[in-house]
Amino acid sequence: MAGQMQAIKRRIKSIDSTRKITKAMMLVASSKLMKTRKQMDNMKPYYSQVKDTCAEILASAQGDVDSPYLVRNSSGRDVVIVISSSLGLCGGYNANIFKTVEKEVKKNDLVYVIGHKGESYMRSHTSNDLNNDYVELNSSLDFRQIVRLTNHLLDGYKNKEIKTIRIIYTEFVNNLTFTPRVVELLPVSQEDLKGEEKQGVHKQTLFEPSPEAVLDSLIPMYLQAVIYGYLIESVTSENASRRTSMENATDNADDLTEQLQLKYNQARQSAITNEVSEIIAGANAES
Amino acid sequence: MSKMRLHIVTPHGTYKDTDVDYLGISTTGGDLGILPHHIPLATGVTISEMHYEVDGKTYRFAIAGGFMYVDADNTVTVIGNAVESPEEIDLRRAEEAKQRAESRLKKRDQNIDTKRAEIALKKALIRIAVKNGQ
Repeated sequence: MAGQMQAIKRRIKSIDSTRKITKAMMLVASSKLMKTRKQMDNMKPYYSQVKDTCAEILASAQGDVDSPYLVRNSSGRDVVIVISSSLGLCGGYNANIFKTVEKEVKKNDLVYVIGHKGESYMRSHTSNDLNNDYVELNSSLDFRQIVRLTNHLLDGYKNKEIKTIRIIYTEFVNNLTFTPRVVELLPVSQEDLKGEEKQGVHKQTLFEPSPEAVLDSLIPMYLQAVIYGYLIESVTSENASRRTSMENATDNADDLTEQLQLKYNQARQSAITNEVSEIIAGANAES
Repeated sequence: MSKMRLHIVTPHGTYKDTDVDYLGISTTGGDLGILPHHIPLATGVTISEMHYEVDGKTYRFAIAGGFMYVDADNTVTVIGNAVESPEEIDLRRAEEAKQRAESRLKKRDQNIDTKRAEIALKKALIRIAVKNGQ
């Protein structure tokens, strides 16, 4: 009887310490989530401005602009950027990304991995060529690194070494919903850009020195903005996912301790009852 | 005097959103001075110094390349990769970056490295110039 009580007590203790960890992780994830969400909002004006200007140039040039980034290359490799996390315990975040990777990434694609989980998954499950120069990007969120990555990719595209560039990231819908998405970055799709353009207004904008030159300097900025935006969105999803799963874990621990506490009390009660009846029985025998 | 709205955005958010009298900026097509009610214009911005004037006072900034867009509604939007005022520039870091870039340029290993070092050198020089020009 006493042994059972001891065992229950031990379990309560261990669950309690696990609960402390999950609770702490939940708090950390929430504060990180707030930070990345703010970063996401800060980023929006930059992104929308670059995108709007791109759309306007394309619209006012009436499709006459000729940029290597708008044409689909006929040769070269397909490049995929995969954004995952570096730490675990974030629910289905990585698993969902890997499911998409399985579906979307073909054998000969060159994969740029961001996040250590993605790197080890690609190494153990696929035979794709990997580039892990930017694997730390999800924790550093360094814009200069993004610029380097973008320039590197754009050079490859211009030299026709790269055929297409796609990115697999996790879209942040709200605090509870995240969906993995695949987006083609290059060639830049004109439809994508035009989609959000204010229609009708045709301002006779001056392009210095020429629409092509402006577009050539703008498209790299557009891509940087897009990649950076997707990266921040993925990290936000990761933190939100971790927060939710840690919250669930904490709740589970609470339920478990409650049940165990009940069991413990029952065991204690029955031990006392037992003892009392033994004493009574002993007293009765003596008298 | 009529003013125009100047909106400077960087990847880290809106850097400045204010009314100005004049904007001087170095573009890929040469130096430009923008006054209120300019016609719509879109152009690239080089790694350079830019400045604007409000009520006779001049404010100077280092910009690490970007893009400028003048809209028909008297708004100028400057999209910069990094924009810094003299107060924000870390002189020691800029000097270090300059030395790093210079020593890399002397080695001359590969083309790409040279190009990147040149850009880094340019950024460092502009930062130092803006910082010291106060």
